[in-house]
Order: sequence, then structure tokens, then C-alpha cells
Amino acid sequence: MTRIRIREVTGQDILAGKSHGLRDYPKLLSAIEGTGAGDIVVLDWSDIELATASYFGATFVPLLRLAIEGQLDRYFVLTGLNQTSLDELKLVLENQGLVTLIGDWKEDGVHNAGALGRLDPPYAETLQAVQRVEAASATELFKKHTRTRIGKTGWINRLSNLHRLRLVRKQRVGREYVFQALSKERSHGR
Amino acid sequence: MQQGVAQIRDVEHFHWRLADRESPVVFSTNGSGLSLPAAIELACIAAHRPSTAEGPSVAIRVTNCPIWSLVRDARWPERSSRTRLRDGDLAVVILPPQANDFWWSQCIRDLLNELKANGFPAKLAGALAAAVAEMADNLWQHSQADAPGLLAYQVRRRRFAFSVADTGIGVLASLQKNPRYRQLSSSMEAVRAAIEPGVSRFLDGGGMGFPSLLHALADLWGTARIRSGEAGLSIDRTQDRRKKHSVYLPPLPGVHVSARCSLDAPFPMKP
Repeated sequence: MTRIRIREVTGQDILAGKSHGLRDYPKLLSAIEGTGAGDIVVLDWSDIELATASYFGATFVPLLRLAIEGQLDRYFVLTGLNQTSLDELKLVLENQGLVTLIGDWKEDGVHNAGALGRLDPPYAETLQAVQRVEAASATELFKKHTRTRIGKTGWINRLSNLHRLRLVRKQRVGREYVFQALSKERSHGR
Repeated sequence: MQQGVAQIRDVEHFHWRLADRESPVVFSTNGSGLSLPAAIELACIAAHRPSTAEGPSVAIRVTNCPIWSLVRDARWPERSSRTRLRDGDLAVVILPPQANDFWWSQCIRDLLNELKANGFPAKLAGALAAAVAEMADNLWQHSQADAPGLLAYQVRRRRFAFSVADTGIGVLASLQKNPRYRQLSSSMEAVRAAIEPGVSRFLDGGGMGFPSLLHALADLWGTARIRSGEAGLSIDRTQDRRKKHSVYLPPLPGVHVSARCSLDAPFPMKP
């Protein structure tokens, strides 16, 4: 897990509009490319007074799209967003049909991670199920959630989609894939 | 002669008379002044009015009006960029040529602090400052104007008004650069489209400026207005329900976005 402080990368605390976003995108991409492939990258927005929807649209959204398209093998968690910046980010994510994880940064990592953006209830439930146990395969979730009507294939589909959205990590263990949460705590939608 | 504070509607009426080539065309207030959006709309019309040789004789007489005095002192759009003039709770900013400017970040920070100091909760103050920043950024991204843009604002206790204006190509010509919106044939269609999320001249996304403005105003009372070409679109939330009003007006180059908002309802709330 690598933490990138946006304030340090950009040198600014007011991040307003597409113009600032286009200025900062190469700096952010460069900082992220300095992390390891498959790494969880915590983008820490603490000490940022204001970040607007168009700023996120020109910086974080293209990064997330690169990750979803498989061109940037990273998993993102955003921390330290104030309420205004959080609302602005939500606006652009919902418009673009994207979802990301936001949480609180503490010394031992990310806490209280939850999805921001529109995540359909079945996927939100699956994300919570993974976060409760930290890591699980579809077989394990199928066996654990016997009261649901979700078959093993259903769990595989849900987990695969969460991985496609870069909300969980995927690792091959033996003959099957294990899906890992990016943080330990239970997810709450925001 | 206008009675009381002249509002946007009075300026629109003046613009019609100008377009109809009445002569002489006089805009005059009796000393009570202009609302901030009305003053900036008048400045936009004055910036684009035909010369006396080819058009009607025009006189604008506004006395004892601080916002109009500031606008006059700012000499927009001729004045060089990066100027901030103040008079009490009023500010007129001639925007820098590009957003990548520490001075501009400081302007936004000052506005944010002013809003907080005037009773706006941090979340709403942030949303309004973000909306102003987005509107100014729209100008840098889309206007293609040679002259600098204009920002004017007024912060009073629990009330806020602002205008952002440019002398550029307008919303219609900007959106038509995107093949997806090339079929738009009027400024009204273009303005109506532009307030929807994700509508932009860019193919690779954007178009969050107006949605950000409307989001900021969602929890407040007041009105927002977008004026470009022959279109005037107002989003009115001075009643319980938000309403949109469209009005066709004489063509005005560029874009003028204005908003007036308050934390308090303009009418007694039902218990």
C-alpha cells in the first residue's frame, strides 16, 4: 500500500476546474507510476481546501479509467476528502457511472472504506461480504452465505465485476481466484 | 426611467429597445441602483453595443450605484487581466488569462473565507466557491475570447450573488465543436443541453461546470441564469419547487452566468 499526498504532488490546496486538472494530471500519473504494479494506492486529499468536479474529471477519472481498462495495474482508495470535495467527486463519478473506494487514513492503513458512486445493491453486498473476511473465493462465499439464493457462479460474476471496477484485488491461489478487500472494515455506501 | 433597484428584466427590456433600433435608447436608474446580475448584464450589452455611427444613440445613466461604479472602474473588457477591485461587500475581478495562476487560487480562497465569515456553513461555502471556480474555468476552457473574463460577486450575511461573463464564442458555437452536438441549431437548445452533466465540447468528458453550479444551489434559495446568444435560461428556486424559465432575447455574444442565493427562504415557511 502506497500513500500519495495530493497536496505535496500538486503544491496547491485549491484545485479548481479542468484547467488545474490538466496541469496536475501528469504529476499524479508520474507519482502513481512510481508505485508497484498491483499496488493499492491511497490518494490522500487531506489539506486540500477545495477540489471541484471538473478537477476530478481531468485527474482521478482518467486514472480510474486506465485502471479499469487494464492499462494501469493499481487499486485506488481516496482518503482525507472534505465534504465539499467529496460531493464534487460524487457528482462526477455518478455522471460517469464509476465507483471508487473512500476511507480514512490511519498509521496502519485505510479504515472505514466505503464505495462512492453508484454501486448496485448486489455488488455493494458482495463488497461488504469480502471486507468482512478480508479475502475470500467465490466457493468460500457460496458456502458461507447459505441463506441466499446466490449460486457459486453468481458469486464469481459479482466478484469478477468488483475486480473489474478495481474495488477488490484478485489473486490466483491453487485452482481458484481469491478476492481481497482493499481495507479491513465493513463497507458502507456513501 | 426605472423605479427602485433595476433587475435583469429591466436590462432585458433595454436590450430589446436597443435591438429594435429605437433612438435614442436610454437606460437610467433613479439612484437606487442595479442588482449585481443586472449590472453585469448591462456591462455585457455595453461591451457589444454597435458604434454610434452604425447604431442608435445609446445612453446608460446609472448614478449612486456601487456595483456599476466598480464595473466602470474595471473598464472591462478593455482592461488588462488580473485586477481585483473592491467596494465594501462587492468585488469585481478581471480574470487572469489562464487558470494556472497562484493569484487566482488566492481569489478563490478569499471568497471561500468570506462566505464562511458571512454565515455560510463550510460545506455550502465550499460548494459555492467551487461553482464560481467552475464557471471561471468554463470561460478559460471554452470561450476562446481575446479579452479577459469578468467575475463580480457580493457576499452579505447569509446571502451571495455572483456573475461570470466573457466575450467569447458562446455556448452554441462551443458545443458545436463536439460532433455529438453539431446538430444543435439554437443557443436555447445549446444552453438547455449544457446544464446537463457531461455535456461539453470535449469528446473525452468534462461538462461538469453547470451541474456543479446547480448542485451548489440545490440547498439554497435563489435563482441562477445562463445567458448566451439569443437564449436566457433561469433556474428559479424562490418557491418551494425549482422551476426553469426560458426567454428569447436579442443576441448577446459570449456567456453571462449569474446567481443570487440565500440561506433563508424568501417567504415565510409553512410550519
